[in-house]
Amino acid sequence: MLDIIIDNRYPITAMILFVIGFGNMMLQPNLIKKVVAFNVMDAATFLLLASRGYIAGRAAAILTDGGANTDLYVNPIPAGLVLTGIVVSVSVSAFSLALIQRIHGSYGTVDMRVLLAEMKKREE
Amino acid sequence: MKIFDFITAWVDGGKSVPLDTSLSGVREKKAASPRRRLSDRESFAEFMKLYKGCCIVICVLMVVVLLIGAVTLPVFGDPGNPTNNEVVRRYVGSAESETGVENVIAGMILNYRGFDTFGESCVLFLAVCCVMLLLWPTSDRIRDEQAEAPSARAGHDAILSCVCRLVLPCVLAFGVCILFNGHISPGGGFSGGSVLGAALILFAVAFGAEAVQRFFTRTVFNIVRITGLMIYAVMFGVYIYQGANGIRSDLAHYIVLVIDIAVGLVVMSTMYGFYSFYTKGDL
Repeated sequence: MLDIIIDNRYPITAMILFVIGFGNMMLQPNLIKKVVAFNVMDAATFLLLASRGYIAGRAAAILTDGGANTDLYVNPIPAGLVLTGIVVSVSVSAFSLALIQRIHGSYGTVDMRVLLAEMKKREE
Repeated sequence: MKIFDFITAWVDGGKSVPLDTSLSGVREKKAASPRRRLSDRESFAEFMKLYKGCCIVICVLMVVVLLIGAVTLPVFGDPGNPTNNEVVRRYVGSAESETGVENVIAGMILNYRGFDTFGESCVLFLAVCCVMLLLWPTSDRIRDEQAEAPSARAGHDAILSCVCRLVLPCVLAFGVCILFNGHISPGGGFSGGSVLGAALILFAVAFGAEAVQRFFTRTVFNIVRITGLMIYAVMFGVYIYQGANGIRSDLAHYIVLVIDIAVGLVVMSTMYGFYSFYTKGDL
C-alpha cells in the first residue's frame, strides 16, 4: 500500500489539491478566495499533466545530439499542454478579477452572502 | 420542504408562491397544517446549511473516486507508459531536422501545434480586451480616482527605486535573453514575455506609472499587442502556405524565432496591461 502511494505521489497530491480547490470554490463566500481556489485547481491539473510527462533518468527535451537518440529525453507533449493551460488560467483569473472589481465598485462588497442580500434588496 | 420553498421563492423573484389548488382535499389540509412560515433570512440560513453539507459530501466522494483513479494510474516515470508513445518519438526525433530548433517544446508549440498557440495568443488578447472593457474609466469612476489621487500616487520609495536601478537592467537582459534564445534553450515567448512584463511592472511600481507612460502609452500598447498577433498570423500563414514540412530547416528556424518574439510582445503587453488596468483603470 505504502509503495503504491509513494509511486503515485504526484497524482495523489494533484487529486487532493484539486478537491481542496473545488471545495473551497464552492464553500468560500468571498469572491476573491473563489478565484484563488480556482487557481489551486488549475495548479493541481498542471501537476498531474507535468508528472505524466516525466520519464525517470532522462533530461529535459532540449536536444543536444540532434534527436538521434529519442531515449534521452522526457515527453515534451505535457509541457506544451501545461503551457496552454497556464495561459487560459491567467486569462480567466484576470477576467474574473476584473468582474469582481466591478462588483465591488457597484455593491461595495465581495462577500457572496452580503451580495445576494444586497441584490435582492435592490430588486425590490 | 423548507428548502424547496426557498428555492422556488428564489426562482420566482421573492414573490410568495401560491399553494397548488389542484391537489386533492386531503393534501390541501396537510399543506395547511400549522407550520411556522420561515422568514427569508431563516430559510436562506437553512439552505446554506444544506448546501454546505452537500458540498462536503460531494468533495469527500470526489476525493475517494479520484484517489482510486490515482493509485491505478501507470507507474510514475516509467518509459513504457502509454503516454510515451510514437508521437513523442516522432516529435523528438524529427524536431531538429524539420523545424530547425533544439528546444523540442518550442518547436512543438510554435510549429507542429502553431494554430493552438495562435489560439492562446488570441485568448490573451481577448482577456486584456475584456479587462479593458470592464475597467474602462467611466465618468463617475474618474471622479473617484481624482478624489483619492494623492494617496494612490505614493509610488516614489527611496529603497525601491534604488534597488530597481540595480535589478531592472538584469531583469530586462534576462527577459530579452530567454525571449531570443527560446528555440535553442529553455525559455521562449511566454516566459520571456512574462519576464519583460514583470520588468515593466517593476519600473511602474518604483518610478510611478507616469514614467512608463512616457514611452508605453495606450497607443503604443495597442500597436504592440496587435502587431504581435499580426506578425504571428502572417508568419504562420506564410509557413503553412509554403508547405510547412517542405520548407528548409534553417528558414523554419527563423520563422520559429520571429513567432516566438511576436508571442513575447503579446504576453509582455498583456501582463503590463493587466497590472495597469487593475491599479488605475487606465493605461
